[in-house]
Amino acid sequence: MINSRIILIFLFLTDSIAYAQKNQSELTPIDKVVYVCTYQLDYLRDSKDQESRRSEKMVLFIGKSVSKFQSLNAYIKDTINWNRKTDDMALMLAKIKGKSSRFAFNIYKNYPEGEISTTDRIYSDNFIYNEPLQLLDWEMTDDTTTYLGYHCQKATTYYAGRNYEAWFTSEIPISEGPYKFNGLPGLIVKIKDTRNHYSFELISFVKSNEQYSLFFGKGII
Amino acid sequence: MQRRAKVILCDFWKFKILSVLVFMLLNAVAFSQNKISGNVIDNTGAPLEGIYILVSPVNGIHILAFAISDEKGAFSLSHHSTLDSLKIKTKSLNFAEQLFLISNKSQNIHFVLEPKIMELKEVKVLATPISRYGDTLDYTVNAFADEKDRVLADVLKKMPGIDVGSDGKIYYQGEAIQKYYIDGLDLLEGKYSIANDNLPYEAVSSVQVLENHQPMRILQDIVPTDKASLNIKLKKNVTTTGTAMAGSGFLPLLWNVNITPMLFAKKLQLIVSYQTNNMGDDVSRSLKTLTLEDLSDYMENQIDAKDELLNIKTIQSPSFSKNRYLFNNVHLLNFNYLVKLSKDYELRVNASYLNDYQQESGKVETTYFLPNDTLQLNEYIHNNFFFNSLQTNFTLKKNTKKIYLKNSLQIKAYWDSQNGLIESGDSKIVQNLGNPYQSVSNKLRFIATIEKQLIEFSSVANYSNALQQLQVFPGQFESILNNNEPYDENIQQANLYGFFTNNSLGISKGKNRLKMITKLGFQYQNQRLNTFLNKINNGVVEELDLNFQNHLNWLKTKYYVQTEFVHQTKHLKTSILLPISLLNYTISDTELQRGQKLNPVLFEPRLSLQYTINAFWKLGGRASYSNNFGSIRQINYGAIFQNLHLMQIKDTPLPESQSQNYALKVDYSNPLSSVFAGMNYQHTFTRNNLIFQNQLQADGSNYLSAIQQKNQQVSHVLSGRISKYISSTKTTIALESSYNTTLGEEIINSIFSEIDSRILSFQPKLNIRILDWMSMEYKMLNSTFTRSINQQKQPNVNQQKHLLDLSIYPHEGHYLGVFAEYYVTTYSEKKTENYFLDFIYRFSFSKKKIDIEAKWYNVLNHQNYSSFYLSSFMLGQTTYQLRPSQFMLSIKFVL
Repeated sequence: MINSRIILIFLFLTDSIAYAQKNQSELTPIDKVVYVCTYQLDYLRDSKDQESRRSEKMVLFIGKSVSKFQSLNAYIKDTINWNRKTDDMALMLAKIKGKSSRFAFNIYKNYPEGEISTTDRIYSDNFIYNEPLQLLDWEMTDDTTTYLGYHCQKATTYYAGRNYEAWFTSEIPISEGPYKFNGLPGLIVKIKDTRNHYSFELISFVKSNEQYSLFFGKGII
Repeated sequence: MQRRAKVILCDFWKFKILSVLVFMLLNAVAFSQNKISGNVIDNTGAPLEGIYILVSPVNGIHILAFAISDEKGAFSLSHHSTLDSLKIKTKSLNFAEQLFLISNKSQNIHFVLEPKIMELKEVKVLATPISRYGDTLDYTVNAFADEKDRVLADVLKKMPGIDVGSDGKIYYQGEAIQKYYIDGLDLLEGKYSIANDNLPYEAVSSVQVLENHQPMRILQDIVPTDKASLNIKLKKNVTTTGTAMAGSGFLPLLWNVNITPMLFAKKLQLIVSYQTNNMGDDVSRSLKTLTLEDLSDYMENQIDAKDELLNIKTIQSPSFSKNRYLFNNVHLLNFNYLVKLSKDYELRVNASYLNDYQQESGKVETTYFLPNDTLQLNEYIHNNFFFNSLQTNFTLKKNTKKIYLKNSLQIKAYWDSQNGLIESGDSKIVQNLGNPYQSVSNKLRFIATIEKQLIEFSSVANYSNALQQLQVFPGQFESILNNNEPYDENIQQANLYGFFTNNSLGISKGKNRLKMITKLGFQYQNQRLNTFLNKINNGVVEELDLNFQNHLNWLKTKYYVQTEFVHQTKHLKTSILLPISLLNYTISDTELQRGQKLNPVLFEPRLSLQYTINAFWKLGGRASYSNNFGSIRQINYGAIFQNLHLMQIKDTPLPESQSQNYALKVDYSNPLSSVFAGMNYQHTFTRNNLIFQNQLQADGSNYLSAIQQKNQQVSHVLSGRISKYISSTKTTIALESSYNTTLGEEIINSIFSEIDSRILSFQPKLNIRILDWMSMEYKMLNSTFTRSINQQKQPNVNQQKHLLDLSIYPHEGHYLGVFAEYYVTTYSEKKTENYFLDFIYRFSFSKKKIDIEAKWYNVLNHQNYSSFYLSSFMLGQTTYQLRPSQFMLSIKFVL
C-alpha cells in the first residue's frame, strides 16, 4: 500500500524524496509573521473542461527566515480548530460553514534551512516530503508593467512539466511567491502556466508587525 | 507491482536526461555572456548575505540579470546584453541601495552598504462589498456607508437590489421582505422601521438577505418559499446603542425630541423609544406593520384593522413628503422587549402609545359634471384630527426543528376624534366625528412532528367594536330629509361589533421530493351593524325612519379543506394548492325585513413554480383563481349618512368577484459585479357581479348605489428594474420602469362605459461620489396617466418629480446638505409646479458620536401647493397649505 503511494508521488514530482507518515495534529511555532500576501488562485478542476474553472484564495505568510503557503480557508479552519477549547461547537461550525477548500497542502520554504517541506493529505493519511529550496531557473524578459501600483517585470521558468510566466516586483525585494515559486529578485505578483490551468494573482500585501507566530502543523484536519 | 514501478522510473529518468541535454544545448547556442562577480559588505566590513544584485540598462528599469549574495557576501552573475553601458545596483530590505554605472565587460564589483530599513508599500484587499453563500447574500455595511449616513436606513437604500420605500418598507428585488431579524431574533415583527430609522449603522457589521427563507424551522426544506428576509448582523455580542436627539426651532416655536435606547444581547433584546415633535415628522409610521407572512395571515391580519364607518370631508393631500405639509403635535411611546427563556421559548412584549394632533387647511374648487349642467363649488376647509391609541402585543414563541409554537395576544384601543370646518361663501359647515375602536385578538399556531408526519394546528379569535358618530351643523341633504327646508343638525351613529374565529388542522406527509399537505378548517363570523340618523331642529330631536336605519345581522360560516402538493428538486420548486370551501352567508336586517342567503361552493386553485437556472438567474411563475365575496361593509339596506356629501345605500346582492391571476418573473443577481435586475409581468382578469354608480344631486351631494350588472376588468402590468453598484467610486445606479394597463367597466353619468386606463412610469436613481468631498443622490419619477372612456381619449395627466440631495464635506467633521425637490403636474394645457429647497449644516465631533445640526426647511418659503383631481364626474383643484420656512437647531448623539 505504502509503496504504491510513493510511486504516485514520484510521478508528479522531480528530484525529490518522499515518505508517508501518519502524524498527530500539532502546531509548533517556527517563526514570526512579517508580511502576509493573499493570492487569488484560478484553476481548472478538469483540464479538459473549460466550465470547471474554480477559484480560491490562498495565503503566503512571510516570516523572518521561513515562509508558509496554504489555502486561506484551510488557514481559517486551522485557527478555529486550534481555538477549539474556547469556542463552543455551534459557534465553531458556524464560522467554518462555507469555508471549504480543495487544497490541504502547506508549503514551508526554508524549513528546514535550504529545503522546502510540503505537508499534504491523501484521503485520511497525512504525509510530508522535502525538496531543495532552489528549484527554479528563471529567464528574464524585457516586458514590464504596473500591477497594484507596483512596477513589475516578467520572467519565465519551467517546473514540474509546465512552462510558467511570472510577474515579479523588485519594489518588494523578497525572493518569494505563491506555491513553491521563489528565486526572483522580488515578490511574484502574478504567475500562471502557459496552458492556463493554474494562475495565481496577488490581491493584497500587508505588513504584520511580527505579532503572530508562523506555525508548522503536522497532520492538520 | 515492483516491475511496473521500475519501468515507469526508467522512462521518467530518460525524459529528465533528455530535457537536461536539450536545455544545455540551447544554452550553448545562446548569446555570448559577460560575467560580473564581486562581494557585498556593510560599513563595518562584515559580509552581507541575501542581498540582491540587479543589472539593468542605463535608461531602462527592467532587470537583465540578477544574483543573491551568499554567506561570504560573494555573488556572481552572467548576462547577455550587448549594450555599451549598464547599471548595477543592490536591493535589500535592510540596507540602502548602492548603484554603479559600468561598462559592459566582465568585472568584479565591490559594494559597501549603509543600513536602512526599506518601507514597503502595502496593498490592502478591499472586502467584497457583496458576497453570496448559498441562499444568503451578505452586504458589508462599511462598503456602502458615506460620511453623512447615520442610521441603518441611510445605508440600506444604497445597497443594490434593496430599496426602502417612503413608508419605511424594505424591498429586495422588487418584493417586500418577509422578516426583519436582528441577530437572528424577531423583536419587532413587521414594525421594523423603528430599528431601521434609529439603529446607528456603525453597530452593524453586515446586512444579510436570506433568499427563499422559511421562518418556521420545522418547515424548512418542506414548504418552499420564494420570499426573502433580512437579518441585521451586529458587530458585537452585546450592543447598547440607539440615538438621542433634541431640537428646537421657530416660526412658530418648534421642537423635535427622539430618545431611542437599544440593547441587544444574546438572550435579550430591548428597544424603547420616546418621540415627540411638532415639525411635521409623522412618527406614527413606525407603528405600521410592513411585512406580510403569507396569504392566510394577510386575511387574518385584516380582521383587527380599524373600522372607519363615517368620515369628515378631507382635502386630498399632496403627493410629496409629508413633512412639507403636516401640521402636527405628536407624542409616541414605544416599548419592545424580547427575552429568550429556557427550553427554546421566546417571550416578546410590544406596546405603543400614540397621542397625535394633526391639522390641515386648504381651498378646494370643484367642478361637477352633471348630465345637464356643471356645478361649481368653492370651499375653504380646516380640519383637526386627534389620534389617541394604545396597542399591545404579548407573544410566546418556540421555533425549533421539532416544534413551532406561537401564541400572540393583541389588544388595541383607539380614542380618536376629528372635527372639520368648511366655509363656502356665507355658509359655514361644522363636522364633529368620534371614531373610537377596540379590538382583542388571539392568534395561535402550533406545528409538530408526530410519527414522521407534520401536524399543524392554527386558531385565530377576535372581538372588535366600533361605536362611531358624525355630527354635522347645519343639517345636510335637505331635499331628502327635510322637504327642502334648512335645519340645524344631523347626527349619524354607527355601531359595528362582532366576533370572528378561524381554526384549522393540517397534516403533511412526505416521500423523497414530493410532499403533501392536507388542511381542514372552519371559520365563523358573527357581526352586527346598527345605525340610525337623527335630525335636530330648534332643539327637537327626531329619529329618522327605518329607511335611514340599519339593524343588520351578518353570519358567515366557512368549512374548508385544502391539499397542497410540493415538489422540490435542486433547481425547481413546484407547489400546487387545491382548496375547496363551503360557505354560508346569512345576512338579515331584522327591522327592515330584508336579507339574503348564499351557499357558494368554491374551488380556488393556486400554482407556483420557481426555477433556479444558476447562481445568477431565477425564474418564477404563479397562476391562481380566486373567488371573493364582500364583507358587512358592502351591505346596508338602510341609508347611511357617511359624510356631508355622501348618503350611501347598498341594497344589493353581496358583491362577488372572480379573478384569474397570472404572474411571471425573472430575477438576475450577481454579487460579484454588484448587478441586480429583474422583470415582472402580471395579468389579472376579474369578473364582478355588481357595478357601482354615483348619482349626483343638485346640491352637489352624491347618492352611491350599486346595480346588479356583470362587468369585468382586465389588467396587465409589466415592470422591470436594474441596479448596479460600483465599489471604486461608491456609486449606485438604478432604474425602474413599469407599464400598467387596465380595461374596466363603470357607470358614468348613468351610462355603462368602458374605461381604458394606462400608467407608464419611469424612475431612475443615482447615488454618486462626484469628488472626494462631494456626493450626490438624484431620483426622478415620471408617470404618465392616460384614460379613454368608450374609446374617447381623455387628456393625459403627467406627473414628474425630481429630488436632488447634494452632500458637501468642506472639512473633517463638517457636512453641508442641500436638498432640492421639484414637482410638476401637467393636465391638458394646465401645468402646476412646486419646488422646495432645504439646507442642513451638521458639525460632528467626538468621533462622530455627537452631531450638532442646523436645518433650514423650505428656504423659498412656498406656502401653498396646488393640485388637480380628475375623475369621471368631477374636476377638482386643491390648494393645500404647507409648512412655511422653518429653522431648527438640534443636537444628536449615539447612545
